[in-house]
Amino acid sequence: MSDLAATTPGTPPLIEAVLLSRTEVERTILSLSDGEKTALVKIARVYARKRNTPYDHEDLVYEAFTRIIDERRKWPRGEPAIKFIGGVIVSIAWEWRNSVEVNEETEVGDKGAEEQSTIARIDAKIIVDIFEDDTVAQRLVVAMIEGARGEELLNLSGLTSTEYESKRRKIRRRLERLGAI
Amino acid sequence: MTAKTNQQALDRLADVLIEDILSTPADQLLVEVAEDYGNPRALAATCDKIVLRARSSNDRLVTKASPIPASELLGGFSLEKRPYFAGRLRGLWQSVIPLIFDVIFPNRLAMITISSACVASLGFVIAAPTVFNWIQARNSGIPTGTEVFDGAPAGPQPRAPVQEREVANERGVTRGLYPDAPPPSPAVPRVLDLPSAAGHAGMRSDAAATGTDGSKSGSSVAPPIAAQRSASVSTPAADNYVVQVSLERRKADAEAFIRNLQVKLPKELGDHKATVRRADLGPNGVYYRALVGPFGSAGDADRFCSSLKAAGGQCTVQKE
Repeated sequence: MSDLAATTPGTPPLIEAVLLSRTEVERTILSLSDGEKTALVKIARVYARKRNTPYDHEDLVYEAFTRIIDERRKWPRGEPAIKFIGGVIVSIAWEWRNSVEVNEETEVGDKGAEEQSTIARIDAKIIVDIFEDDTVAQRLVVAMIEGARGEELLNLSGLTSTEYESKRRKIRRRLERLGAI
Repeated sequence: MTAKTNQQALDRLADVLIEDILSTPADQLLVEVAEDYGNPRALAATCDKIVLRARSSNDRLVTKASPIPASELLGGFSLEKRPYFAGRLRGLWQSVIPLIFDVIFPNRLAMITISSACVASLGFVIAAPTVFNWIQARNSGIPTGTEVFDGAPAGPQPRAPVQEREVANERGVTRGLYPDAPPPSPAVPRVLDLPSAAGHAGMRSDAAATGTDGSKSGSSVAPPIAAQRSASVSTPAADNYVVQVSLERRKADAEAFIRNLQVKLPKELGDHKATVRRADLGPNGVYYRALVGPFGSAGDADRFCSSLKAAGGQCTVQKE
């Protein structure tokens, strides 16, 4: 970083060629569209709900913007706003989750764990059970939980690309409405 | 399923959902928000508030840590940067004011000292006129309103009538000065013992009942002091005898005695004026005389004193 920060008189700092300046960062944040802001808050909500932390999605968004504005998180020039800010939100969520990592040996079925752990309340099995009335959606959810992505999910569903995206959106909306994730 | 396995499963699910959010068109997201909250901007507004909080928090930190250089503030101004000019001015304001205070008040001790000096000076300026007046009055011997004149020599005296506290003896209208004063000291005997069934104590209780705020004392209006002064000054040679009816340690007791006298013996008092005078008896201390008068001659004073004695009281005639 110190090499990047080295400047030559009469030329702009090299670091500014790679990273957005603070003014540019603020300007970009202020110019976010309503759709982008909504997406960011939704992303934060998904991660805040499934993390075992005392923080909510607003805390996550606030922390992300604070770190970006004070340049603890450097914004690479050319990085789309939604992708960069969303990545910072996810990163912070991981950081916070790791600070309160649960005991690996704790069984979810234990009574004590159920009372104390958010994870116990948001159980993957429960989420699968939500889609009992929609076999395609349930199959997709199981595949998602097992780690399938993109093409693989599309092939597993047996749907067209448009149908698959529509089904995936319905799954997300259903989970959002139920507050399950 | 262990907690960790469950968490990993949820993480994978979340990743797909995030993918979906990112691939959903903005207008579709707004429609979803409108369905959930009734307002498509609900989450965007939340985000706006959070950004505002984050920016203001960061502004405070940045201003505190590193003030914006003046060259950056003023030199780089352009139409393109105009939206940020107000923010920079705010930053300058926030950095310059603390700097000025740092120069004026290099440390807290100096600030406290200067503040204390300012407060003390203000208090002195406010209190000085009152204190000077009081000292001047004390030095010149003029009573300052709470004093009564003592047994001074006869003749016109500038200090006596001006601010004396008289108890009026006109038609039962009295003027009590210290209605809430404590009872008199029993060690000092009275000159006049009035014939009252309740005795002196009873008179005092009556006095309390008819004090300055009582019905008998009425409006407690005394004759104008200026009028009294002019009257006493205009006839200095004739009015030089008074009748002392009581001698008290406390001024309030002397006044109370006079009020009782006015109630118990109004006929004997007639139109004579009753006053309280301070008497400094040197090593014996300060006393307060309850006086009736002045009388134009010793004979008049004697006659009045005799009538009081006939009613059961005691008194002495004095020459002013």
